[in-house]
Amino acid sequence: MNLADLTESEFRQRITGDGLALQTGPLHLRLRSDVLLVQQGVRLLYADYPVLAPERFCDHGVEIVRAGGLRRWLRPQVLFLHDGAPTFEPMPADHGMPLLEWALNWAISGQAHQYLILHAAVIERGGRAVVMPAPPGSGKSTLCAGLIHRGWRLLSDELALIDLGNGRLAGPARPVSLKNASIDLIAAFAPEAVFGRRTPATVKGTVAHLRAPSEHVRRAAEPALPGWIVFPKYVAGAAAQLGSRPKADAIMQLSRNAFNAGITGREGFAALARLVSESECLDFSYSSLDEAAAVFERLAAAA
Amino acid sequence: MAAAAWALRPLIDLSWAEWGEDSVAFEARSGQMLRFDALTAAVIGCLELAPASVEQICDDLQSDLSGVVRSELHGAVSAILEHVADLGWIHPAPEA
Repeated sequence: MNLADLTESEFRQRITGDGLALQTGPLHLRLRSDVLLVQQGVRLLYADYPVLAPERFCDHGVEIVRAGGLRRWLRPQVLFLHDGAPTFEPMPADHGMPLLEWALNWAISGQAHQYLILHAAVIERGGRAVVMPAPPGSGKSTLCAGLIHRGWRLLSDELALIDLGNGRLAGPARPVSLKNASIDLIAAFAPEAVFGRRTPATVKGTVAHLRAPSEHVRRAAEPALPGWIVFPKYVAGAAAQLGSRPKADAIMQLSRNAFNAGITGREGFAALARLVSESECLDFSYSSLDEAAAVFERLAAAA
Repeated sequence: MAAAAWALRPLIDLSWAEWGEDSVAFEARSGQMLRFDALTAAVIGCLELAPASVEQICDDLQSDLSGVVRSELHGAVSAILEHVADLGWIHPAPEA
């Protein structure tokens, strides 16, 4: 049963009660919220995800709730609770959905230590993954959002999960977070894309979430083998171009994007070294999503 | 500082990955990940096996480095040992 199959009453009972348990690829999440905007956002963006039995153990739990006291009515705010305790600073009440997604990223990156976790987008075709590590603002989420509408399967737009045991890339295939001009860009590039509500004036500007394509959600538990590590960089006016990057460079850059390298220790290093060894390492500059899609098409064809 | 012999510090725990001339070492206890050229990696590798002096390290490496003048190798190895000592990975070997 998927979330869309729940009646409105069942949905509200779960999300306001003990929490809505969902499967997102290899991860089980429990979401709880009394905030209407969050409930509406989850209902829309997570419609295709399997719901789990209410009593099912979940790896990660996130609660987005209305702040109490004066902040319930005057300049109302929402809070992220982790294990019942406030964890981030309060945010304006209409920032609930971005807060939910940021909180999930925080929970997963801080707890899912059965994986080496990189700050990177991951897409897949033909069983081989492209890992795209990049700092915020580099355009990786925009590139990811574009490519998943041009034949690539979404694993993640934010967290690359590398299985410490077998080196495969896992992906929860959660909604893609886009901001500012990227929202309209992707809406024009992929008219079939479904977006959640736009939230203006967040710390990252205007944020909206792109629903993962249904087929990608259906296949979210399917891992991928390493294929390519591509360091993307949006450069205004630049022709789409791939260039080789030395593997030693690549691993040093990846280590700077690793959330839990210290915790995973030798196992994490071994997983990272294996990923680099088994991947073609490339730099990629682009300014046009159409050109980028064509370059990635040739990359997949040459595999 | 010249030492009779150098040794890897007891708590240093290294894992390696190599691609061609580039080596990357991960020190598990500190979480440091550093990139080295082949010669530096080889010098550290010698000390992972056993404490050694500059001369002993040069003896071990000379056969693999055809055409390298001994005095140049000695200078390079000495500089490498100083650098790795600054990292905190090696120290003068305790007297037996």
